[in-house]
Amino acid sequence: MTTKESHSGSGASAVPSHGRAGARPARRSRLTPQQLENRTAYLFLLPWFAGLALVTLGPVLVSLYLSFTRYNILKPPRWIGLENYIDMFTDDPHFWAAVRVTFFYVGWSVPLVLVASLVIATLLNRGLSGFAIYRSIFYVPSLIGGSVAIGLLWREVFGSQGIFNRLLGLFGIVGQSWVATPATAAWTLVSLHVWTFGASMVIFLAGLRQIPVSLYEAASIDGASALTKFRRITLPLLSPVIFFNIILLTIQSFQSFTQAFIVSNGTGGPAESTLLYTLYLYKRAFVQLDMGYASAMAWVLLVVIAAFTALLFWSARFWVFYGDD
Amino acid sequence: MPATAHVRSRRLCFVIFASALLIGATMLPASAQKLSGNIRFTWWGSTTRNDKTERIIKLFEAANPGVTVTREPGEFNSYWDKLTVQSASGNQPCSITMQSRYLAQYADPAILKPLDDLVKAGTLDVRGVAPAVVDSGRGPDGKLYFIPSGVFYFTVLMNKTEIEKAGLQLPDDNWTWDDYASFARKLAAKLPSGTYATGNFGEAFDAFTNWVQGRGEVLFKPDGTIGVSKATIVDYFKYWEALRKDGITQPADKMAEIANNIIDDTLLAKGRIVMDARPANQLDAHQKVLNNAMPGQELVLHTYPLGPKGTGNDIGSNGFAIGASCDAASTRIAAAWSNFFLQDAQAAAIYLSDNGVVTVDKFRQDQGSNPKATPGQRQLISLYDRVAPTAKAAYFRARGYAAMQQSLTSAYQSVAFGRSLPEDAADALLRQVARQTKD
Repeated sequence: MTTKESHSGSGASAVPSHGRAGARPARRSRLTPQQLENRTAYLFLLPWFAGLALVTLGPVLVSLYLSFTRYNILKPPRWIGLENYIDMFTDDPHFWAAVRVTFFYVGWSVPLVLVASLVIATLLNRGLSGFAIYRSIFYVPSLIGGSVAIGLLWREVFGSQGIFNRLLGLFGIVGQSWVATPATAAWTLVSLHVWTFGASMVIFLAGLRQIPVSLYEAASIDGASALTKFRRITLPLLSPVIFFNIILLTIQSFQSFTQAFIVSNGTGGPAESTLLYTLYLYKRAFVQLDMGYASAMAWVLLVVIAAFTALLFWSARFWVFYGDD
Repeated sequence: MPATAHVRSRRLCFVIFASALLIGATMLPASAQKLSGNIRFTWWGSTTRNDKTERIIKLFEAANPGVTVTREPGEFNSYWDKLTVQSASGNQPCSITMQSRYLAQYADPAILKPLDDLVKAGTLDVRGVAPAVVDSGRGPDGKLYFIPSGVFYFTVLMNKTEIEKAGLQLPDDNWTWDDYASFARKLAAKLPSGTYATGNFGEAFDAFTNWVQGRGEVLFKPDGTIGVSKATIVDYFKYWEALRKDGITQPADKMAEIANNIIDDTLLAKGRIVMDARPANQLDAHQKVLNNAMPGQELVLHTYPLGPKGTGNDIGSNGFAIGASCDAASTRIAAAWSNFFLQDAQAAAIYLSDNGVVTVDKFRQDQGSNPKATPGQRQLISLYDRVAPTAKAAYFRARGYAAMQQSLTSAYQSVAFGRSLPEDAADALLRQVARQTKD
């Protein structure tokens, strides 16, 4: 189809195949072949653009408007200006509790997942037999880890009657309820996130595969140890993949909701110890019917995630090497 | 042509026959018109109640072939979140189980159909229900929003076997909160390790309501402002902290861990707590689980202790509401379902006041005097006759119940886990309730 079009277009004067020569002036196509191709592309993209506008952009802009109103669904929104934002930062201890818990969660799970997935990927990359099986075993948790069933399971495993306490009992340690004690509840969430390191690991594996083996061989000839090889070859060449994973993990962790909701029974845990930001947002929106405030919270989260992403991109010039530098 | 004439006459017969049927059908009196269609019915409860409800629904569907009821059971706390979200999008079910404590939030014609007209027209059958009880289904605007089918009140459920094994006797009705504490301490001295004399009522909202009302205060004043004082809250937290620190109640993490709405999980039902704050209609459900965990142990109902100003007993009702988005045909089905549940003797015999003392007087008297009634049943009704006259229904403004209950939980948990002092937690509780109920 495209080739045919470009053929007829490139001629600029389409001579009618069965017309009398010179009877009609040659029709010039107003678009270049490139523009015609672009137009087709845009037409194909139109459904996706429509979806983006209607399902994503539209509601996002409406939520910006709602963040300046008091809106409880059952009555029309009432404009209150910046009151939601002011209340959030000056009169809401739960907001700060949620911020603390979320930073704790992000601050621990992102590095732990990165380290775990990088270490396992490096080990798997040595070409063991049964490599495919190990890769699948490590990957499966990341497929099911976001599900409600796993959340419920985690709550049981770390409850006072759970398997974890039985395990501790084998060593004579009397366990408590890890999900219902404020000091440890957030750690159960972090551990759940770390358990799902498989997705990052698979990406690291792909990245490791791309490092030319010749580099390692040359380094071995020069007498480099495994650690030096890792520091001087693997890490720098892997840095784009590490960068990608950090950004994805950070954004994901900030938006984490399901498991905190399940493990804490929707309450945000004993004494707000598992009150992730999105969980608090959900409670304000759907339990307290304060949609305006929740919209304001959502926009604050957007700004914070954007700020962190921008910071990471800015820092990238110092430690990410794209190979052709 | 003979073949065509034959066909034509057959066609004529068919047309006459069909028209006769149609005319006959449209001439049926409205009350004999068969109901057909589907409604969604939502309720909360644990396994025992789900089983009973299932049996009653099957009876209703058998009596009304052509009607199907989509079951939507749930757990009490998340029930209200779900209903709220559904109502916001007009997606609430047709037949909704409603409760007086939550009514203020949903008492809006945009969410629930006002039922006064249906009652007046006889579509909804409230025969046998005392007018004062029917009125408990009215919203703040005076319109009737649900038909009460069960009246609930709150009690302390006690493990009589364990108490007598410890050499003590069940306390009498005129005990005070101080008596409760000393009774619990005496009991704890005789119990094996791992079994606790009393559950920690610090975050038990029903017990808190009783404490507040027993001091002559109210949770919410009729104008919607908070009525409970800081001093009352502080005393409540200090009372339970004293018991918890001495090991009379279960440790804080066990208290926080178990969602008390899942009866099967509670320590009381497992025989590890001797006295706990539970709704009176849950005795049989607890007894069933206890029979498996610790055969031979008997649970009994007991009234709450008296406060300085007398009894603080709260009372409320559950019943059937009809969603505003329900069309005319489905409304008829929902009304028929509500009538069936309320008035059918077989249904009442199955349900046995599971979600509150049955509101139809005749059934209540029958159940109370039935020699084959379970102990839970008998006690539920006999205690009801003693509690109801002096009980005061706690008023909850819109979103008030959820706000108070969540704030109490988070405030007491911060005290029990050593994160704040009772005074600061009480301040936080009042501020949180005020914030959550701001209009």
